[in-house]
Amino acid sequence: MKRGPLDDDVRDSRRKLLAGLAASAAGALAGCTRAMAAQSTAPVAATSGSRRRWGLVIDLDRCARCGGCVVACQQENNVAPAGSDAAARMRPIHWMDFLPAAPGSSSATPIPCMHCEDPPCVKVCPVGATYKTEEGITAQIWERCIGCRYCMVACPYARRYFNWSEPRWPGDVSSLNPDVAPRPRGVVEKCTLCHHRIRAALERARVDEEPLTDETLRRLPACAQSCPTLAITFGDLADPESEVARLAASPRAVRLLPEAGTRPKVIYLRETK
Amino acid sequence: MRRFGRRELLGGAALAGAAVLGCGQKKDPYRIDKPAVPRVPGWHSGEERWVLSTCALCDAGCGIKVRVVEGRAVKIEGNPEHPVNRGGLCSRGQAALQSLYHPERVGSPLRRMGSRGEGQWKPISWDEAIGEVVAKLAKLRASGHPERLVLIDGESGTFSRDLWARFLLAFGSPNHIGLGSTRAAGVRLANLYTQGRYGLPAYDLARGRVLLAMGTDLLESSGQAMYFWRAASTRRPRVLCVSPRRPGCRFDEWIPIAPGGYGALALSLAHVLVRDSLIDRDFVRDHVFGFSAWQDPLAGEQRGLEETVRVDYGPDKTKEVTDIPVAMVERLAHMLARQGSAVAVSDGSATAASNGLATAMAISALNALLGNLKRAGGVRLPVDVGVADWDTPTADVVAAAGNAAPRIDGAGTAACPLGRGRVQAVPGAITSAKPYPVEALFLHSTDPLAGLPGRQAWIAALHQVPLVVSFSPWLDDSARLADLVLPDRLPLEAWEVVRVASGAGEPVLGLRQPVVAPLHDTRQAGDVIVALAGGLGGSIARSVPWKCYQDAVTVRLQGWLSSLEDDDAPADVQSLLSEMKEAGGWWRESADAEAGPSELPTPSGKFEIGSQVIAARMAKAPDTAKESQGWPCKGLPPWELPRFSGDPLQFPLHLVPYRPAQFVENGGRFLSWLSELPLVSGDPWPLRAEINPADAARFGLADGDQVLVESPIGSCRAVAQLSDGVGVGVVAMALGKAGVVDLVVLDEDRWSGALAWQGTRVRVRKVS
Repeated sequence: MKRGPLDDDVRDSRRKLLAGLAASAAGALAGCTRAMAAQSTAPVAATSGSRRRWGLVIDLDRCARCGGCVVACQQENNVAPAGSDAAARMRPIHWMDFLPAAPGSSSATPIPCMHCEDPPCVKVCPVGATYKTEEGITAQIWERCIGCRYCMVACPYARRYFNWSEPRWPGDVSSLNPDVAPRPRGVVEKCTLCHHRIRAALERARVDEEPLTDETLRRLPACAQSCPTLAITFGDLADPESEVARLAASPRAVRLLPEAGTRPKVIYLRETK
Repeated sequence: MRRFGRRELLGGAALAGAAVLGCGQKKDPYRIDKPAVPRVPGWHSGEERWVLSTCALCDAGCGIKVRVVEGRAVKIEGNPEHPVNRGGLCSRGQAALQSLYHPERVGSPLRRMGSRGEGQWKPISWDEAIGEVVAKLAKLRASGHPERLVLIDGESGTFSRDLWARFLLAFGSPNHIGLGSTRAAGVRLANLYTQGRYGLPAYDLARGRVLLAMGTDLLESSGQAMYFWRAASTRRPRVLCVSPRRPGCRFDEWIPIAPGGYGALALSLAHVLVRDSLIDRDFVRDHVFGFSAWQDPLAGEQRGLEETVRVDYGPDKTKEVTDIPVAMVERLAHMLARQGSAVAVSDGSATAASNGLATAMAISALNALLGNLKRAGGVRLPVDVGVADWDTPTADVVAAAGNAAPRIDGAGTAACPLGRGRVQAVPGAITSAKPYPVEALFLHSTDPLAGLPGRQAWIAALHQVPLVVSFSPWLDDSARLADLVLPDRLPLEAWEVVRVASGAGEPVLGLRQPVVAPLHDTRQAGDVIVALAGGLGGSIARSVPWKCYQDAVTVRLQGWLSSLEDDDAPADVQSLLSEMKEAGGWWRESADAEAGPSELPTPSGKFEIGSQVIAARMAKAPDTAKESQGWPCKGLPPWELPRFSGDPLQFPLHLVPYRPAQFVENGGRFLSWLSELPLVSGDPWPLRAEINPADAARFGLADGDQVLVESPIGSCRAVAQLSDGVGVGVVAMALGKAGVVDLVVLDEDRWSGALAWQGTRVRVRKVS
């Protein structure tokens, strides 16, 4: 397929966006300012019905940059590979992505949806396809999405992806996860924090009549499960006893683009020197 | 529209030979109609289970568990109980799923129609295919030249590999050639000569304080990376990485070094350790051989390491070779000595040079000087579960004569005096028909055309062999030039037992079991061996008497079980197998992990910095002795300056090929999950030439430019990527994508036969 000038613009703008984000992330992750540190340790207050605030803590000091979380996510969530044409236009879909290493910084940074407490993407959706669940996950109803891509523009982290074509898998589709519906062409998709795994865990706990412990939650999403260095931890940020809450209070904790006021529930722990 | 061309599916190298397959490929086979998940009419059982197995994407042998829904494998995760990876799994292991359901898998045995490489294939039955191979092999035996069968075997540690060895012994061919020389040959051999055991060493990394990693492969893509990162998740030693290229993995400090300079750095570190009295004197006195001068019965007076490093390897002298300032060498040496448990490790990238073995031995010697042997945070001997082989096979007269023939790759001759094989020499030997012509070539788990340098030589060689049989599950570059393709099962469909060289130093026996029913009319190589032996009859059939490969595995495990002196061992082989199926393998705590320094299996029983085995071998071999006149110590291969192919004026830059995190030795480029891994910025598909901004300015290159990288023997197109993560004068390119290997000039370490990946000069120019 021939590449038009518009494609180049789109590609360049997305590349610039990512590069800018990478630079800003590198700044935040390397030399964290006092103000940011103060904000990062502020507890997440539950704003609506549910008590739970699901969040992730990603420890960059532990992360080996193996990329296991990326493949785990694609496998678990039936994310179709892009192919070289689409990839050249910056169209591959990676719910769990890697921010390229900014010049001078040591290495790349794994970056899923930030699941903001105040998600800008939700505010702009004209059809209510994207919304915040009671438990704080920024979710998307594929069937309701009209593909206007306002949310992609609104998201300061570029964590939303448009399906430019029918999803296809090379060869047999037998390996698709029956628990997750593939998204059709023309809709925006994003990280769900492995919502289906959370539901299943809650359901198991209900059937077994046992409380859902932080222990069982920590490695629940596919990315966290696969991580060889246990760098990714999942849990309830509103539960002060949880591992994520404990880690989020670390002096190494930072959030990306705090100036955007989005209050992300994905929290990074800076590398130690 | 999203299309998957050959580029995505087979990595692009094969485009030249990518004519239409004769086996009925649809024009656009990847189109799926909604709903995307295949719907089976009628009731769904909803049956779901997790099957435990062992990963096969690299030689780490991580434990995996596979989620199987209604007979379909849908997810691979790490086995939390497994001692190697303890639940973690890298991108490669998870991508095994894509290889299982890959659309380009060969569905049945294929016979070449038309001329070689034309791409016309006819599906045939297994009986026909095996009959053909048996007929050819029988002819070789009848003519009294069984040695003219050559097997290139890409596996390591599997029972299949051992069965091949057994088959070849009974058949009469010494030519069981592994890929050792293209991987970390120097490290493995250094262990053999210094500590008496061949193989990758184990490191107690998680309890170490400092890790001096020479080369980036070890922590980024090697089989030991997963063990290290999992073990280090709770407490990580300070990772100091020495390499011309900034590692893609996590590290604490990067010390850029000139390509090929690792050995000089290690020896200058030894110089500082000795000079500043930082060595572990007691350990060196009691457990190290060759530190001071010694008298060899054959080679005479030998200079010790102490004098060698004192005289020749001051940091001011080595600075020219390594580009590392004196102060940095001193700081590193003091840091290593000050921290109680610092280890120096080398890998396949540091030792893949013309001075590979000497480099690996020098790095290994640092651990001896620091006293880091078999103590907490230190180095351990390479471990093996110690599964005895089957009983000794019978070799008849023809086989005995064949086995006595020299190896075609020159292993054990003057061409490779200290090494165990050099697969890179095979094409030359085939085309020159020296020492003898090759009549049949088997390629098992390997694609030398795409994976090894010297593509043209391989093509010429394959054209010359009357029978080329590939066991590849895909029509990869080498299989395209074969006469017969006998598709192997993929690891998720087959039985296998793997002797895992665990980085932890615990003996591990990994089990692979069929996770799903075989998808195609394929056969496991082990079963093919059994069938070939049966077809050939006589002493060969008596040596491989089993009905199927699984029987062979069971018999061997039975023999091992009866030799086990372990009260907890299972009562019989059936219960052992069912235990292994439940757990994904068998393992236990290593007996000698904490035993402290004891006798090593070397002639002196000590850690031999100067190897008596090498000294004796050098003294005996007249050819090499002449060359080694200048050696101050014959027990230590002379550390020579690295050799680079290409005129420095014409080719001003050093090519540094590296294995990125998603690198899979054989077939990783077929898997889009790995090809699209966003570990590089921007478009992941094109080949990138990473170059320092200073060099880019010198050659007028900008980031994102299309460039042509030219070496003395080849060229390839790439996208320039300006990066301060490569040193000045260096072009770093990731292996695994088509093109890079074609730049590498075939050269090797003349002592060990290790392929010199890091020995080519290149130039880069902008093209439109």
